[in-house]
Amino acid sequence: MDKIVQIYDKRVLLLDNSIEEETLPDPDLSDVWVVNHHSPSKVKVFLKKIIRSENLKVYLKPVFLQREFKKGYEYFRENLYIEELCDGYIENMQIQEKVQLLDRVNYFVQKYAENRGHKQLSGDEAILQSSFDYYYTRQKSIIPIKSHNSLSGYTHPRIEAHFFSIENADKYSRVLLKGAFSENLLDREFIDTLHLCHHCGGGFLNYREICPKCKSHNLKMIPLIHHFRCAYIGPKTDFLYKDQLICPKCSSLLLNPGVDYDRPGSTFICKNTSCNNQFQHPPILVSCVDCETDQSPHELVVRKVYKYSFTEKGLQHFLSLD
Amino acid sequence: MLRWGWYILLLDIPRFLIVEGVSLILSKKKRRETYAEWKIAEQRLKNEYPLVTVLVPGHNEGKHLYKLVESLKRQTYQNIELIVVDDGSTDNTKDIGHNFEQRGDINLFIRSEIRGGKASAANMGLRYAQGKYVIHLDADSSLKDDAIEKILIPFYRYENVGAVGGNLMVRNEEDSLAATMQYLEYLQSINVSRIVLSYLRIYKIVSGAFGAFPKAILDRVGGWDVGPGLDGDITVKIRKINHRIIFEEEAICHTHVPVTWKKLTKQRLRWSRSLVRFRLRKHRDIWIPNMNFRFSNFMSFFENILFGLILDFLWVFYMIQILVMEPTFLLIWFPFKYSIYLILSIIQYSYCLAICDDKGQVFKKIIYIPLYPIYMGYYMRIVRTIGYIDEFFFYDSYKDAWNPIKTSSKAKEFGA
Repeated sequence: MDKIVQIYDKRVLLLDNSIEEETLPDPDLSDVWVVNHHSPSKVKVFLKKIIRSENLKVYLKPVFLQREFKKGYEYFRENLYIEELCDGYIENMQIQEKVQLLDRVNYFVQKYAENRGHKQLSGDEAILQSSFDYYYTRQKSIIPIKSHNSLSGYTHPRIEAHFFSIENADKYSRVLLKGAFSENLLDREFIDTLHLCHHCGGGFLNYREICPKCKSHNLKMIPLIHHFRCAYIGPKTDFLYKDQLICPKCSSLLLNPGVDYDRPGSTFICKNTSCNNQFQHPPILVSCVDCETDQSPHELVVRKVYKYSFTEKGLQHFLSLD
Repeated sequence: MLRWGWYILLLDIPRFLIVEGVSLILSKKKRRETYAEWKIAEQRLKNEYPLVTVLVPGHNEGKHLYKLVESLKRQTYQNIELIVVDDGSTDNTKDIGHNFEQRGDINLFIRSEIRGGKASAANMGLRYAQGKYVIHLDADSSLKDDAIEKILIPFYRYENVGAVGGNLMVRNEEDSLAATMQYLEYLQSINVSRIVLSYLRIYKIVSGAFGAFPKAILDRVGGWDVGPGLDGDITVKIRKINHRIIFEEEAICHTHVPVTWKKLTKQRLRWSRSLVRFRLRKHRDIWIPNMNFRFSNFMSFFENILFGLILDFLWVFYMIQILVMEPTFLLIWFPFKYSIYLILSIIQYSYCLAICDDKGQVFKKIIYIPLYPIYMGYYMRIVRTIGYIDEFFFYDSYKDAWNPIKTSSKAKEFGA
């Protein structure tokens, strides 16, 4: 059994065994839950379990991580958003700083815990309701965060916690939010634009300049040099002799840039030995790291990223008791 | 002593009437007689069908590209690689060019971010050119449908051809009086005169507006040198390595000429300065009877300098002398000179009519002939003389904004 300590007038449950055994504790026994476990992967699993719970008293319970554990959690980059799955970090068990939050949650739970459950909600509606309850009590907007772990680069950790595969999580959470927006339950504000693979929606893309003839991306860029005196223009390799620049047309030494010569641009050479093409404007080819699909930049899917907040209608809808 | 001006007529009349008339007749006759050989040459061209690079360097010429592309699409000769070089344009040439390149209408669109001048732009295009022949065009040139085919045939008709100059006709002669006078001028000084000069082996300038060169020869002379006047300069370079320069009157290109007198004056001053800069300074070795001396090169310069520079000076000097010493003599001199040159102009005009294709269009301009002696005899001579003096004493061609200062100053420093 996990320990319960009393801090001022609040009962604080220190989660350790529950996380180890992956069982949710009884929400009535304490006011606040504080994670007291070292393994970030297990903590993540546990926090997601809390989010997915159908019990309002569970998924609204204030849950904190301890700052003393932070370094250990964030050792691996994939755990960087772990605090988004709960109410953040506290230091030295300073629960009293969070008193306002605790009271707000308490009030909400007392008002709505008994009166919910009359509506039969579909899976999607349940997720929206659960998310609403959380964001409403925490007085926050639904803001996506940048993450290396997510497919596209942005993630809504709490909403995506409801889904079980990474592609579904990304796709369905967006669909859900977009749907709520089109029903005017949510308001949205533009925050970013993404260019994603048209095949898998992945944001991890490799951009390469390629040879227009043979498509190889093993290219060499050479600056052009224009010799003023005789109007000869060519790649730097034409001029290079030992360490100096000597004009192949008039054999004079090029000394002062801007006075004797300048660099009006560059030329590319394809290093593919069977091609050796020379050109000025290499086209760009994009390769998706996740699904290895090649595409040109204008084939990429352009998607906008928004942060969401609840409208009046939304508030009415989600707060209604019938 | 005062009346020495009469003797100048002894030069102009033989040259324009007799030499031109006779050479024109002989040239046309020879062409008709060797018709079969021309046909063979045409067949050889069509059998070989080599890749030809059309090179179009320009600065802020984006608005002309559409017409150029269309003009090339209509060509009877289609094995063409179109290379357009954008020399640091500041308008939307870059976008227009890229668009055409993506559509495949332009094979290669090269851009220099910093303006370097026409010579460096042409050389940059030459570097990427893969054709056996390179045809240099101005962006506002529009070619007759068989122009490219026609300009290539001389390479197969004769041996050792280093360059072929195309025929230039004025496209915008309706735009102004200045343009109409230039239309008449081009008929005589290009259409007729160059046939004569080419026949006599002293043809001197393959115009940048429409000229064809074997790529190997361009590479050998190191491409173009700093201008203005780079088209005349490269023609001289090719002459110096013992190649023939041919004028092909059937390869026709329509070009846009300056419309205002001010712009026309600027252009002719520029051309006159080039004459001094290249034929008296840079390539002065043509005059010297050393081991590299070739009589035809010498004669091409001599004809140019005599009828272009020396006579202009003499006429202007003579005018000044009359004005200063005996102004009343003008009352006799002016009508006399005008009558002689009017007759000369009419005869020249009839030569043009005889050889041109669209006789109707040329004939319509007959009402402008009375102005021609004043245009050529006074306006042009005075402008050209100013240009010669300007370049001779003040080296003003190096200050011309036509070419960026950075290259002009280096060219000046090294006598290029």
